[in-house]
Amino acid sequence: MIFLPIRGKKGGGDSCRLTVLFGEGLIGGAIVSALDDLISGQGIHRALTWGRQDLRREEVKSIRQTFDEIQTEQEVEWLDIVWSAGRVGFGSSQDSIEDEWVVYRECLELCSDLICAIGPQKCSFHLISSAGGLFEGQTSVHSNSVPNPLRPYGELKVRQEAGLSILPTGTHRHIYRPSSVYGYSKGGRMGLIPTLIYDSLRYRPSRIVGNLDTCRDYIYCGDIGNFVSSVIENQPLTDNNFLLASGKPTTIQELVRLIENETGHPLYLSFDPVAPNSETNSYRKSGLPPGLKLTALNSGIKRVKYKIFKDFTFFP
Amino acid sequence: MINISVVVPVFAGEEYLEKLADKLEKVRVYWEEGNFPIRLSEAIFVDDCSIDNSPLIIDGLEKKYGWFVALHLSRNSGQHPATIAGILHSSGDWVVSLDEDLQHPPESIEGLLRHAARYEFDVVYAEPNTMVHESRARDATSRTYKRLVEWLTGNPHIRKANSFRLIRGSIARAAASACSHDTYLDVALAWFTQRFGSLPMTLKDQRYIKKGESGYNFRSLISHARRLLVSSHLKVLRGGAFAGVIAVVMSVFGGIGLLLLKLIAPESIQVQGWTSLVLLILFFGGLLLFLVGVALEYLSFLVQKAHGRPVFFTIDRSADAELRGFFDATPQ
Repeated sequence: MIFLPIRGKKGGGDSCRLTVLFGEGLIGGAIVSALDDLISGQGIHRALTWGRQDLRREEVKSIRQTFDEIQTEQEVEWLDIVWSAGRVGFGSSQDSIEDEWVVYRECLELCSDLICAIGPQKCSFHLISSAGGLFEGQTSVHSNSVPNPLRPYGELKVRQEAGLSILPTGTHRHIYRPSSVYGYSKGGRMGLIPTLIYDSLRYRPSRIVGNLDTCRDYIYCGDIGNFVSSVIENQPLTDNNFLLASGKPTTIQELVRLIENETGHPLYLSFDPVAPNSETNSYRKSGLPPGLKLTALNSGIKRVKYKIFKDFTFFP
Repeated sequence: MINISVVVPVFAGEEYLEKLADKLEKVRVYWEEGNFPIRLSEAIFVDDCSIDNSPLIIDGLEKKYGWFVALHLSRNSGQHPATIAGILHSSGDWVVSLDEDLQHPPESIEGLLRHAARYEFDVVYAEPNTMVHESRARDATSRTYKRLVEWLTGNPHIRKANSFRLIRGSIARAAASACSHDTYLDVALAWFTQRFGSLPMTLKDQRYIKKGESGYNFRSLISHARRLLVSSHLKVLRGGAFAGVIAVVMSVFGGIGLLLLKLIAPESIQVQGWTSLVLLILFFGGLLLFLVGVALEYLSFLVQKAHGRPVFFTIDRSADAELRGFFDATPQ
């Protein structure tokens, strides 16, 4: 996790806004990049272990101590806590979901302490949830659609959203529900789009879990970063549920065409005949929040390709 | 629940759009109240850089009806690219494309769906059983051109092609994503399925009949026809190569005959050299024709690949049984 001092609205050097970000993966990294212009100093990194509870207790103490030190040095006029952490994925088992829930609960308790120290009215909690998990198999999803998870991962997301109720009353809660997020972060998990680009560039075969006609809604991680950053900057005083999607369903077939056109190389595809995740999922444009600026899929693919190019120097 | 997406390319429809929206809403409500296992889940209006007030109207419709989607293209691209854009934004199990000017009645969508479910078609076109434009010249030109292309390409479905069509969603999106800027959508559909059907119905282009105006001017009709021809694999190329082979074979047999005649009965050849010349021209002409045919076949193969023609495509028609069961139990 990371503490990010953000320039205060009051001006002057004695006060700042503080953003505490859990999870510096694809979305977390994009949020940090988007906040770049607002950050007034060095970020302070602190470890938070997923596995061992005894170690985590010590880490939580260290986080709390760092927070106190920041507060002693400067007046924290506003606190934003962003939860974009998570290890589990769509196919995760119930056991790993439970493990993640335990960590999330512990972190929420820590966050409650931090919020109480500042005052709930001056705090926002931003939860990055998952529209894919909540609305799996649903089409034309809009802002009022009711979540109906089909697997443990989706149920975890429902529990995580409901879990925000333990935060002190008066905290501003912002829930973001992104559809299928794509992008590339070095050392991070590669999703479908970067994997296909990488395979295409390396002339390697790719295995598709699903069918060519499986529809998904893809949103670029940078768009989510920019949107969360704008919410952090504007400090809305209401609770919000934001559906973050492109509003354009895309089939694997279309994706393959776009990637082949972008890389100029063919994709060698094979298909998993048993596709546990082949339900169509789509979102209505009218359900998207105003101010969400979207990157077209072909531009997003181009960006991911260049990022992969930067990391991998040798291509045949 | 089986979801239907409606795609409407819009170019100059300010006069008709609200009426069309009203009709679509009525169909949606009728299905909902009748507990049909189908629903109109989205109506996507694609503004193809309209020349009238249509963009504002479709934006208003999007606000008025939650299930309407307004898309605005950045430049005028034509009816087919606008339809393709709409299809690529759809997510329904079936996609219906229809024109903005009320010549395609939304009430007929159910009929198209019945027909598709009954015969397990992937694409069903509305087939006009009267003169659409009430102009012999216009209707005959369109019909004759489609037949000509059908003959040139060997694609038997082109004759049925109509902009009022019901397409299985997965095939619609696959074909739309395979299309390049100049691909004719109905040709691309034939790359993914052979199950084409048509349903006779009365279609009238009221705009053309009343005002003599059409969404298509002469230039766009020519462009439309060109695109149809360019997208298709021309069967006639193979015919050319085959004619070349025939010419070469004939020249070889003719040469052998001439040689034998020269050896056996040279006195019968009264004029020297002419037959040899004709046979040589026939041989090399045929050879050239054959080689050009082969080269064009290669070129055609590459063009088809560039257009995005797939090697194969898988499909799931299992939901048709439920639909068929419902329609069998519910007479029209």
